[in-house]
Amino acid sequence: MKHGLLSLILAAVSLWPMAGRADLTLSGYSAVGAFGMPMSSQERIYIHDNTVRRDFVDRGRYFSQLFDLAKHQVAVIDHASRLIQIHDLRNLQATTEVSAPANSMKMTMEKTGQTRPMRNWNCEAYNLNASIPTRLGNEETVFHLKGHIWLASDTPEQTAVSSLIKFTRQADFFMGIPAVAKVTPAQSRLFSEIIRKLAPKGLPCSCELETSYEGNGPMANLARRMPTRLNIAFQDFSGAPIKDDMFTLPAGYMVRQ
Amino acid sequence: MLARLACRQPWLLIGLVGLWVVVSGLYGLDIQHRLTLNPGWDAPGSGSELAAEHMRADMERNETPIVLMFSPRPNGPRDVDSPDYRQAVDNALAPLYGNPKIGSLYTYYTTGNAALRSNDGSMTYAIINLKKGQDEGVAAFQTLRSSLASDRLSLGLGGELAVYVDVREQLDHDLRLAETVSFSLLAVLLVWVFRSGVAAVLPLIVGAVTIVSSIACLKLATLFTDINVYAPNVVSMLGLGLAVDYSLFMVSRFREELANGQEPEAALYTTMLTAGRTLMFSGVTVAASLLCLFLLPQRFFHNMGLAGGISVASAMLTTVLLLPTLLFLLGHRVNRLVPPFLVLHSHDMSENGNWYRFSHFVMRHARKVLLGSLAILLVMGLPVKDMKVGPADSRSLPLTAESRQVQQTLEAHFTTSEITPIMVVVRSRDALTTPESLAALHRLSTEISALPGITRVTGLMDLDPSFGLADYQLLYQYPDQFPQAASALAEFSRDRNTLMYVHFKPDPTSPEARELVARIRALPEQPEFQEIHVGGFPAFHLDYLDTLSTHVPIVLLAIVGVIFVLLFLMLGSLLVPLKVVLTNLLSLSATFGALVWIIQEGHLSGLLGFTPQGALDGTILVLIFASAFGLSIDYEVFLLSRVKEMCDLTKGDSLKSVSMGMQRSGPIITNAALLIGVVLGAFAMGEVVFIKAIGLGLLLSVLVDATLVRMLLVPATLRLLGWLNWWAPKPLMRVYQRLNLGEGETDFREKH
Repeated sequence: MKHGLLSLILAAVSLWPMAGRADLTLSGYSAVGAFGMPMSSQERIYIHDNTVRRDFVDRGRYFSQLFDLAKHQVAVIDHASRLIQIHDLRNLQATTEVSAPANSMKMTMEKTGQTRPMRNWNCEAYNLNASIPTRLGNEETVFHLKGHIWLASDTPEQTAVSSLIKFTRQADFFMGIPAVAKVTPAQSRLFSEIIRKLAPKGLPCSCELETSYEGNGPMANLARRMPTRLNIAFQDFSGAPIKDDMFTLPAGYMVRQ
Repeated sequence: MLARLACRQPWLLIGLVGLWVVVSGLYGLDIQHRLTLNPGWDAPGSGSELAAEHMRADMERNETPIVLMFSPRPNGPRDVDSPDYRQAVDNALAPLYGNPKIGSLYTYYTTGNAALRSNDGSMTYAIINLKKGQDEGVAAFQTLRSSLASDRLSLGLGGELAVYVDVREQLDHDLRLAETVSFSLLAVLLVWVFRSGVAAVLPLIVGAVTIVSSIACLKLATLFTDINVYAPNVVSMLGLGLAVDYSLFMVSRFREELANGQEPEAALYTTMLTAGRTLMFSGVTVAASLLCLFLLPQRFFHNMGLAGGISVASAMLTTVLLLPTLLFLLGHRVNRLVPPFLVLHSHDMSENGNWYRFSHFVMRHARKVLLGSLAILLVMGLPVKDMKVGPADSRSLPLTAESRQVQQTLEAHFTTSEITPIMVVVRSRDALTTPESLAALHRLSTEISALPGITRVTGLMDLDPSFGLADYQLLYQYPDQFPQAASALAEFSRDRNTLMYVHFKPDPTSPEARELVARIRALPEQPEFQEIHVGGFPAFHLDYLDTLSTHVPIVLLAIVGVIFVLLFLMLGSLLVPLKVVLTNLLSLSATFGALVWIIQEGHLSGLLGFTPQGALDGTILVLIFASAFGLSIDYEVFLLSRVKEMCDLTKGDSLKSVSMGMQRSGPIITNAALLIGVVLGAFAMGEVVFIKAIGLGLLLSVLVDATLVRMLLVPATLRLLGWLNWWAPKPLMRVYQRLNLGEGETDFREKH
C-alpha cells in the first residue's frame, strides 16, 4: 500500500515533461516512511511516446508498472512471480469519481525561490498544498498532501517528450495504481489530478511530501498520528533512445486481465 | 553352515557377491541426490518445533535468512552513507531482484535500520529471506551465490544456511581426503600387521564391499524415510573401521589355525566356530547399542542409528560371507607375498610370549595396577565436570570459510545481530483483530518487552511506541482505511495466527538467550490464545539441550542393558558384563574428558588447527558414545572370548586362561586399535570441527580402550574377581547353557 501511494507520485512526476516526442529516462531513489521506518527503493522511470514505465524494487522483489495512456491501460508486472495484471484506467477513473469527484479537490502550488542543480538542470522548489474530502471509516475527513516539489523547466529534455501532454487534457484522464484506487479512491483521485495540473510546468527532480487527515473524530486523530512521508530523489536522467522491448509485456509471464 | 557353504560353493558365493557389489555400486552412485536436511535436530513436540511447524503450515512461512555482507575493496567506496556506496550495493543486488526464490530483501538503505550498519560505517549487510528452507533453500542459495558479483565491494554470504553449505563443501573435501589417506595408510599397515601382502588385501576388500553395500542399503532406506546428508559419513567411517576390525580378527584366527597344522577347510571351520561366532556376537552388540539411538526423539539420531546399524550389519555380513570364501580359496596362499624386511618377525603365541608375560606381571600386581589405571582414567575424566553442551555453529569451519568470516564480522563490527530473533507464534481463539485478541497480544508484547535483555519487539502491537491498546484496536478495526494496518497485518499475520520477532542483546548461543526463551514461555497464559509457541534459534537450542538431558540417560541405560544381556548370553557370567559396562563407562569418561580439554577448552588447538569451540556439540557426544561403546565392546568380546576359550581348555585356571587369552588376543586388539585409529585419525585431520571431534573422540576412545582398559584394567579385575568372573545364579546359568551362544562347544562349568 505504501508503494501504491508512491506509485501515484511517480506516475505524476513521469508525466510532467510533455513538450516533445522522444525518450527520457530518470533514475534515483524513493522512500515511503510511516512509523519512523522508511522503506526505500531504487526507481527508474522510462518515457517513450505515449507509454510510461516505472521500475522499482519492493523488499527485494522487482516490479514494473507499464502505462499505455493511448489504450487507457496499466500493466502491473511482478517479475519474481512472472505475473502480469492488466487494468483499465477508465474503469478505475469511474470508480474514484463516485466517491471523490475531481471538482471537490483543492490545490495550490507556489514557487519558494529555492533552487538546486541536477547535472545541467536547474530545479526550482514549489510548495504544494492539495486536499480532497474523503471518508475514513464512518467519519467525514479531508485528506491533505503537503510538501515541496522540485521541477526543472526550460530544459532540452522537456521538449523531447511533449506528445504525452495531450492525454492530460482529456476529460477522462486518469493515472493511478489499481490497488490504491480501489482501497483509497480519494487519494488516488487527488494524485491523478495533481499529475494533470503539474504536467506542463517542468521535469521532476525530487519531492518531499507528507500526507495527513483533517477531522475531529477518533479515526482522523489516529491517522494524524501516523503521517506518511513520500520522498523521491532522482539522481540522473538521460535522453538516449530506450529499447522498444522495455514497453512491451515480457514474454512467458502469466497474464491476468 | 557358512563355512560349509564357503567350502562347497566358493565361486558361486564370489559370483553372487561380485554381482551384488556391481548392482549396489551402480544403485548407490547417486545417493547424494536422495539425501535431505530434513531429519534434523528438532525435537518433535518441542516448543521450537511447533513454532516452526505453525509458521510453515498456518502462516506459509518457511523463510531462511541469508546475510550478504558488503565491505570495502581497496578501490571502492568506504563510507556506507555515501551515495557511491549505496550505488555499489544496489548494483551488486540488482541480479537478485527478479529471483523468484527470494521472499524479501532488506538493506540498510531500504529500511534505515541502523543495526545493518557497522559501528565504523565501513560495512553493511543485506538480509535476504529465501522463500524455502532445507533442501530447496540450499539450491536457491547456490543459484543466488553464483549470481552475485561486485568489482567495488567485497561480498560475503553468511547465516545458518550458508554455514551449512560451507560445512557440506568442506566435509566433502575432508572425507575424500580422509578416505584416500586412510585407505593408503591401511594398506601399508595391514602388510606390516599381517606380514603378508595377500592377507593385507583381504580387510581392504571387505572394507570396500562394506562401504558399497552400506551406501546402497542407505539409498534403499530413502524410499521409506528421509535420510540425512551426514548419514553416508557415518557409514563410511564406521563401516570401514569395523570391516577392518572383523577381518583382522578372522584372518588372524584362520592363519593361527593353519599355523597349528590344520588344513584350510578345517581351519576355516574352527575360525568360523570361534572368531566367526564372536564377531557375529560383537556385531549384534554394536548394532544394538547404535539402534538405541532410536530412543532419542530427534530424527537425526534415528538416522545415525540406522546408518550405524546398516554399516555394522554390512561389515558383519561381508566378513562372514565373503571373507571365509576368500580364505578357503586362498588356503595357505594367504601367507604369501611377505615383504623381505618382515620375514624375520613372527608372532609368538606360546606361553613365553610378551603378552603372556605382561599379563602375568599385571595379575601379580593386580591391586596396584587396578588402582593405578583407575586413577589415570579418573584424572583423564576430570574435565567432564566442566563440560558445556551446545549445537555447532560457524566456528566449526576453518577461518578461511566465507560464512565463518561473515559471522566473525557480524560479531566484531555490528552492535546487534538481526538474523536470529526469538519468534513468538500465536494462534488466537477468535479473529485476531477483535478487541479481546488485540488486548491479549498487547499484554504479551508489553510483558516480553519488559524482560531484561530484550532490545525490541516487532509485531502487530509494536508499530509505534506512542500507540496504546485503544489506538491499535481502532487501527486494526479498519485495515481497509489505514494502509499501515493492512501492511502490518500482511507482514505479521495470517487468519488467526500472528508472529512477533523478539530481538535481544545477549549472544544467541548464550545461556542468557536461552533464559529469555524460558522466561517468555513462563509468562502467564492468556485465555484469548488457543496456542502460543516460542521458536527461533535460542528456543531450538534450549529444546535441544532439554531433550538431551531427559533422553540421554534413558539411551545410556538402554545401551548398558542391551550390552549386559548380550554379554551374559555369550559368556554366561553376571559380573563380567557388569565389569565390562563399568570399565567402558570409565573409558568413555576419559575420552570425553580429553575432548573437553581439547575441543571445548582449546588445548592443542594450534597443533590440530581448529578454533576452541567453548562447548561440545551434543550430537558429537551421543554419536561418540554409541560408536565408542560399541567398539569398546568389540574389543572386550574379542578378549573375553579367547579368555573364556582358554578357561574351557584349562578347566577354569584363571591365571593361565587370562594370560593365554591375552597372548592370543592382545596383538590382534592392539593391531585392530592401530588400524581403526588410522581410519579415525584420518577423519580427525578434517577441517570441520564436527567431524574432527568425532574422529578424535573415537581415536582417543580406541587408544584408551586398547591400552589402559584392555591391557591393564581388564586382566587386573579378572584376576581379582577370580572364580566370581564366571559365576551366575543357577537359573540364569541354565538359560545360558540352553541357548549356548558362546564360542566353545563345551563349558568348563559343566564339569563342576
